[in-house]
Amino acid sequence: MSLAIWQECLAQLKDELSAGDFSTWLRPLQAEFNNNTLSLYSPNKYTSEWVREKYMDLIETKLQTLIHAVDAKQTIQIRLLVGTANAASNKPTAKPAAAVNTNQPWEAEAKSPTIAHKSNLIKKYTFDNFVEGKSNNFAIATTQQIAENPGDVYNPLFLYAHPGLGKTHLLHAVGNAIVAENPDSKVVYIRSERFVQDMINSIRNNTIEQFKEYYASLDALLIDDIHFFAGKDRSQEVLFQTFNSMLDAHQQVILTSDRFPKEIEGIDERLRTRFGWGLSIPIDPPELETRVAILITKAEERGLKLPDDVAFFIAKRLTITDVRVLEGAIANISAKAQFTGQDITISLVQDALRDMLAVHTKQTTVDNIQKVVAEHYRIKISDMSSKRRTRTVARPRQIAMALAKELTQHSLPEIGEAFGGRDHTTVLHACRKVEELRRENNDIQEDYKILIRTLSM
Amino acid sequence: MPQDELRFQYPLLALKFPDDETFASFYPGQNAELLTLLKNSVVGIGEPILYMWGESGSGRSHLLHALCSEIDERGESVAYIPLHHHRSMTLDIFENMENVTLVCIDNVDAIAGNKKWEKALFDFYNRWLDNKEHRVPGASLVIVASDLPKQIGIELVDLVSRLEWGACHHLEPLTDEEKLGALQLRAQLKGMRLPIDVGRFLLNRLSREMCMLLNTLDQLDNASLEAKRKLTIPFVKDVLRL
Repeated sequence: MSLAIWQECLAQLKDELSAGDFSTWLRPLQAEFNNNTLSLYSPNKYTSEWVREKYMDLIETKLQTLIHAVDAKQTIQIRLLVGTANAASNKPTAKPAAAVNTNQPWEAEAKSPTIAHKSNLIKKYTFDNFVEGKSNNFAIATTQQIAENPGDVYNPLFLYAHPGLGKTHLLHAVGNAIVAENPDSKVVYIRSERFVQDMINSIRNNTIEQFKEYYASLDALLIDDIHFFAGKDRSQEVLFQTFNSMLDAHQQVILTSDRFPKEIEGIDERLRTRFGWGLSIPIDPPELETRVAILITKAEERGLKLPDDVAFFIAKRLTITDVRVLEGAIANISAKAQFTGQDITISLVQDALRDMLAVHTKQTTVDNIQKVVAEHYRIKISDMSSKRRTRTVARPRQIAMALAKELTQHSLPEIGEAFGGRDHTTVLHACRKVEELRRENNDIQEDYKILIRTLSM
Repeated sequence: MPQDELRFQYPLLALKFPDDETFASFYPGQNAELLTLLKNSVVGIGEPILYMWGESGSGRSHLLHALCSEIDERGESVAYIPLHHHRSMTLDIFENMENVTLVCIDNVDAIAGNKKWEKALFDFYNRWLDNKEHRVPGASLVIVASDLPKQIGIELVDLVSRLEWGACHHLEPLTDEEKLGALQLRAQLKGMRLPIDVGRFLLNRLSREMCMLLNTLDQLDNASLEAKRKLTIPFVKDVLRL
């Protein structure tokens, strides 16, 4: 008797079940045949229970029929287990579900209080491959200082930014740098979801004190996406205690979130206040030059040479964007270049990113127009709504107003409001002035065309 | 309804997929690049994360099943999670999936606006990324939807950001001419010849959804075997009562 029987059984089931059901529930099963026992391994308890409930009778019937066809006296045992398979040999290794490659940094066994430390740091995220720009240089400088003297400066550090702007990368970078400086340092990177899950497990296993002691013993604790603690009162309490004990002992704590500490809803006021005790630093979306540098760096990581003009082309068009979108763009360009065998040119990029660029066109908003125009003329976005009237600021502002009238459906009063609460007659004047300038001044006309192209792509 | 009661409800499947959904039976049309990308991922040189989007009926599930089949035959673990059935599943479906070589998540749009499922997918995605160093070469995560990540109504911005991370490919729907090619390819794989005029007749007279056309082809295959006749327009008219 061998696994061939199971393969035959699967072939029959494939004919009887829909492809969707077969792929969802039966295909993931890994089989092992030993001592007249067929062991079927599922990736998790849920799929295992589903198979037991829905398909076990069918599987048993089919297997027994197949076996009896070979040997009428033969019977086999069938076991459903949770575990993962060794792909090379197709021999599964039975592991309890919870022990399979979790990122739990500590493993407290019920009988033995020994704690195995695990940092969860991803080595490839370093300061060296973090692209620096105006939008993030303060955050980089601060974390580098912390890496040199953890616990002594800026404790806690709170980094906040929209998704995809490098919070996680910086956490790993600072953690890796601390360990590089002092290999004996106990540093842990953990996502808030994992922290909560570990805490729940430790309560269930009566190891909550060990859990707290473990975290209190760290040199640096790096918690990502702290906003996901919202509404989890018990976890917040444990975090609060851990936090206090670490700060008292000058152990470094770095937290990240998608917003400023005081703006996180569902988090206890005491915690929010403590988050803000140290330094809170925003990471802004990358400006044009940084986007170009990111694109070139990400392409190089894939062994691709992205010409400067192509990098600028993409960076100018993917304006409302996070770094993951830029990485996604490089992945698409790489696939297109590989498939066509062509060099990376603007034309190839237009083809590879057609859909992505179209979506960004739909996102043409007054805010975006202000950002693009400000970047083009190298002025601050805040100048779009400021009272300053110097020509270097007023002219771009007028052009942005004209573009907003041309590219959006907003009324003139709405546009005026978006530019620092200006009157609609100011917008009207700006539009007329720009129209006049475009007729008389080639440079302005050219700028206007470039801006429209950038915003329309 | 309590979670425990939901747990073992059987997903209602409106459509039974044909079991010959392989790369060989997929007519690429304008999707040759995507097909190459998927085939590359089977041999471990593809993108680790792929987001594939297209209209319903454009062959999304066909490609996922083909991919699952290839990896499965290589002896590695696969998981196919049809999120259009999420109401009859629990969030536990994602447990330990980060250890599976190929994870295919179909119809991610179905959980848009459902906070718990969005968060569960987000957490799984993070675990999958964190598990990078433990994965076998060529492991991949393939996510399928009807549109680009920003367009499908996912509310958790952290999840949208992650969905935008990998290669993102549109599955171009087949033109009528390409559908004709797809029907002829499928007929050929069944050992049957579908003349162009018969193919055009089907496209002109029936619903042009590929799954409907393929079901009709199955019906004609059985009828022609039974009657021992070739496919001609009069025969097709007779069988389909047109």
